[in-house]
Amino acid sequence: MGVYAITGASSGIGAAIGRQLKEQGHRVINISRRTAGEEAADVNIAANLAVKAERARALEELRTVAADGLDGFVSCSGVGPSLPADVILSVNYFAAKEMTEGAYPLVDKKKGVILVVSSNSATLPQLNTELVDILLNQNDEEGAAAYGKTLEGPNKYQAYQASKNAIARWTRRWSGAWAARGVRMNAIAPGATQTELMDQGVADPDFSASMRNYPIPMLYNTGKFLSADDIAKVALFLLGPESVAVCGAVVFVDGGTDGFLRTESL
Amino acid sequence: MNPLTNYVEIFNKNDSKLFAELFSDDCIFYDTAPTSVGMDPMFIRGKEGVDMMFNMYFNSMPMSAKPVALNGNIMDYIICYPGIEIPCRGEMLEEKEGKIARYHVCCRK
Repeated sequence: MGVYAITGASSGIGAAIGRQLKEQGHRVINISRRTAGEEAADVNIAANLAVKAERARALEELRTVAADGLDGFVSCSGVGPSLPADVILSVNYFAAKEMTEGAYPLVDKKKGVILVVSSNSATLPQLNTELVDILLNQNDEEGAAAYGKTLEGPNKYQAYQASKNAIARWTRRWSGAWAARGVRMNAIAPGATQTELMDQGVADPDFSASMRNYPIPMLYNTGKFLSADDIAKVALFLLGPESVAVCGAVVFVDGGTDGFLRTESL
Repeated sequence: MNPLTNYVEIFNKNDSKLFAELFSDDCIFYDTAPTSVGMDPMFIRGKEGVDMMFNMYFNSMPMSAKPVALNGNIMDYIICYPGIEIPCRGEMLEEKEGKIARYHVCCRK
């Protein structure tokens, strides 16, 4: 069976992906601040991915633990808009990008698959394009952190949305070159999912009303959010051989939200 | 009664389910006015869609409508968000059993 590394497999969507991979008999390596339970990971690499030096150390450890290569890498670590904006930008964009780039040589060894977790927030209106440019084109983590510190209260959502937009676009930018070398890369854009991150958002007065009233057509009038296990099923499809022709895609796994809100955009 | 008569008054109650009752079950609501402020146009099919869309809007920001004029099936009004006013013209292209069945909105120049 295969060897997979996941950032953020200690909770939420990452943990659900880890569990489902393990249920299929794969070996799972978790990279995150907190330890994943044995149902979600076989090996834990402890690292606070908001800190650049810890990313480098975690990758060094990953190269030792998975010396023969990876069949798949999942960038799933992420924080929600309740946290300070500079942390959001570091974890959701810079860490996601650096960890994926760092894991790529290991995935290349086995011609495996990479999956990046974005969000369907990436395409919502009022995207802060200046901030996206700082991330995606200037690649300036310090500049982004300084900008992030100016965002307070509900404006922190701009950091969340920009980080998720930028990482989805980064995935598309890089996917062609890596595909030509035999490594597929895709992104998923989950919608409102029942996780710790969602609980934090709903408890935050700056975001509670908008999160509770976010339209999820498939869950209309139920008051429920999507389940992490349902998101993970699509992740496993994209990591597996059945999706061999899918590359450079951003797959919305959101119960119909993106289709509903952006009917006129493809 | 023309269902547009109470449109603005009901819109201003910010109750998405009540607002959706103005529309037929299989209505089409097509609104290009948001493009005037850089947002996507809005295409909604079905009463549930009207409820979902306006539940989101009504709960995410203060939103109101100011009436301007109603002439038959054409209504001019202004949609107000914080710091933004969009002059709109709505046209009811089809009515079904006293409900709006097909409604197109554009930004009034």
